[in-house]
Amino acid sequence: MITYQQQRQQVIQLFQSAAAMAQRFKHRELEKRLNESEKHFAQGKLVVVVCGEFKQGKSSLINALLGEPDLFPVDIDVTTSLVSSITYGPTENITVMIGEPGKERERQIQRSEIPDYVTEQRNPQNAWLARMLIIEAPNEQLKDGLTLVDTPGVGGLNKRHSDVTYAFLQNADVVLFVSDALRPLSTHDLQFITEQVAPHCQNIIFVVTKIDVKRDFQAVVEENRQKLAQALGGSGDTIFIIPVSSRSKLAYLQSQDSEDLEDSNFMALENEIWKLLREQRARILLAEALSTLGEAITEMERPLRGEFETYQQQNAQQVQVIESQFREAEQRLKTLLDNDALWRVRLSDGMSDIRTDLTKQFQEGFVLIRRQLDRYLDDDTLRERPDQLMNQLQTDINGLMSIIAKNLGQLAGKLYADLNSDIEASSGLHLNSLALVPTFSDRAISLPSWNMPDQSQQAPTWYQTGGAWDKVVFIANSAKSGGTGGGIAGGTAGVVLGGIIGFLLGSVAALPGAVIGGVIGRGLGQLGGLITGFRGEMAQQRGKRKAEIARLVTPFLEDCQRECTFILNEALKTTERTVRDELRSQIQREKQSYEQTLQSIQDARKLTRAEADGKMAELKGPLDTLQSMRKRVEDLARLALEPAPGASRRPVAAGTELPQRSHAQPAEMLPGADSGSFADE
Amino acid sequence: MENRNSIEDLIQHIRKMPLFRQLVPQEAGIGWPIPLRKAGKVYVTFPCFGFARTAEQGKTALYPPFALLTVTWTNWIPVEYVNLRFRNPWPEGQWEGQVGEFPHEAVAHLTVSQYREQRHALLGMYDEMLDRLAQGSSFDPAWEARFGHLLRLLMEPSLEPYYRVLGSKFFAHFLSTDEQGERSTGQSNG
Repeated sequence: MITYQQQRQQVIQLFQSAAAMAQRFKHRELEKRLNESEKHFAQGKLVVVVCGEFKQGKSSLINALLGEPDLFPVDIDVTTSLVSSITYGPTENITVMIGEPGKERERQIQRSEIPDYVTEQRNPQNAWLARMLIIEAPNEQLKDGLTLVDTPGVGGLNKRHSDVTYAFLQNADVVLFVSDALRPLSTHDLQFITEQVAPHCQNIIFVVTKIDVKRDFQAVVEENRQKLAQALGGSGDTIFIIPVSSRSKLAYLQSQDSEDLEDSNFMALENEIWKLLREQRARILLAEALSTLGEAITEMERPLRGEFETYQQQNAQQVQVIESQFREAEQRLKTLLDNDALWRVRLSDGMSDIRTDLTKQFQEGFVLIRRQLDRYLDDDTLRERPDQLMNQLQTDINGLMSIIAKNLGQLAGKLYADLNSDIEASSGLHLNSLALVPTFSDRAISLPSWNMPDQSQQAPTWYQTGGAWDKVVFIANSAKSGGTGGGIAGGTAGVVLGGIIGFLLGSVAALPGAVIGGVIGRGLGQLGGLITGFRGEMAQQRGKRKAEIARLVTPFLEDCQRECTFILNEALKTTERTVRDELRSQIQREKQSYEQTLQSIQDARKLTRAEADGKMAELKGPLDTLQSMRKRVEDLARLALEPAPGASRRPVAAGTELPQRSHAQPAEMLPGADSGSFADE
Repeated sequence: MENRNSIEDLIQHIRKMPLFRQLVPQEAGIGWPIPLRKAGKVYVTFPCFGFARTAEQGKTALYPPFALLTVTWTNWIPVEYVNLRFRNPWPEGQWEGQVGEFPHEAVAHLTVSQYREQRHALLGMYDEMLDRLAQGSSFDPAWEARFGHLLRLLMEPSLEPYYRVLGSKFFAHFLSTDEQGERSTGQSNG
């Protein structure tokens, strides 16, 4: 079975071949598009978030997965208090973001300094005000886009980091929930899983660590399986639990003894992680890339093929037939570009539906937040620390907007795919060269290349922060990018969310996700700044009574809701504009391709027979190459769409219902029943 | 929205057929399906009709059907195309020019989303109906009443006379059955 890594390499090679071909035939715009798409694909991230109670072995697990025994501090008396991410970089580069929201700065540190920031012991109460640790490492395991995120323990979840943790959880491709073999999952663990993890990520692997210290760890594994099956509503068969020993894996790194590797069971864990990544995110990254490649190959092939077939024809009438077919297609595309084309109406209707749905979700979400505020006000501890109460509110608001953004991305992505399909159906044209029959999950394959806007257009906000994406899933600071990418000044939580959402959703919903993330991230960044200011004021209200605090917080919450309403409306408007512009660009590109083809045909008609034969011979080579590239793209696309082995055993989160077609039962005639004679001829 | 019904996929498939592209303007609408059972096999006929945006915001002009396309339900292969100008089933009817507007009164109060939900539900019942016809299963009165209710809601009144001509048995049966399952006297043009 071909692995994702192998597919990735082949796709990169195809990009390079296609770009070389584009250069040869002087398709400058296309060559640029291909180079940029290759870069985007190569940078595509697959995010695995590691979470669980503290002291369960999360950091050891990551060290063992990466084969880096001394990356994250793991001593017995150490607890991680900071969200840390690790991604590939050609050289090791470690950055810690420190400072209050809105005033963060980057600090480059050495590996040996990591414990000074990430551990409770060396950074008690987070005196450094560290927000996040970002590590780039030249680690082979990460070379294919894997990004691991280590999070603090959820039980003792430091509320100052909760917004960053939840932002990652809500956008993880795979979650590793870690518990150890010393005790089964607690009620608190299960609550966290069902309320905070499962609603956002279906791909959860439950890892049971420290199996080397408990002989009968299987009993704990089985008890966990039953508890999870009950909590998540599936059967035990659909819960993935993998027991491992990080210690044995790290021992293997030193000993190279295969028995240590076998005892560690890390091969099973790695296989499972990659299987899930391949099913989801990797599949989408591949689908986007292959879609771009297919489109590019068509653009190059069409005029050459038109010219070639013209040379092949023996009489003018046959050439006329070919030419008229292309003219007809060009005309259809021209109609699609009209301002009253049907797809524009459908886009408008579709966005109107989305607006209705999301406004309802948004309003319901704020009702829940207000109810939650009441509960916070009843909490003595939070009333004692009103600034902490504000942290909670901020987390809740960011959480709601994150879900809204994700839903908007998914709905807009589906609308985009549906419109593509409608345009193809009504025009009779294949806007994308890959002739695979789409289902909804496969529709990613028919999404056109969106990634790289023309220079003449303003790039989506996240794209302007491209320098940062070389690093990790985090936003650039405005000093580096010089862009308007919702810079740090706006408040890290919002920007983190915006940057993360924009980046991570960028491949889930392709075009819309990145745009949505940028808009919402910017908005939340500004909101975060407001909340920071208010938090300072609230810190003065310590010890005040519930009514007094409520009198201050309630109107502020209303202001937040108004602000978020504005953010949502902006996101909706921007999404519609971007989808419309992208579809229009796609149609325009196709039209230009047909125009080029017609020109080639007309030029071809002017040649003598001998000249035509010579040209045919010249064109044969490139056409064969393009055809073989196309076949390769189609083969890779089919592989990308194949479900991974064992895919049917994917865990089903609570509340997920699988669609069921009603199957009519052959039935005896019941009294009063109709035989269906209304349909008989 | 929920997963698509088979018949929704079939409608999309029809639009991509070479036959359709050759004979039907790309902006034409595809109407409510008309099931047909013949010699034990099940077919479904789709009327094609014209529509156009009007100057008035939110209104669409409707024109009479101009063609029928019938496909086999099991494999979606076309079995008949009829040009209704060539084979006019109702010579005394009006076949040229606008005959009405959408949305009609019964659905004018619905949002686009709500309308689509109802349409999706009706097409889902069509799926069920066609499967049951293929299997020789029966239809209980309550199910028929639900189907009739939805069809009555969504059927464009200005096109109803044409539907009753094109599928007289089918539409006489369902457009004359109300929610309580009681039959009232229906018009019959067939």
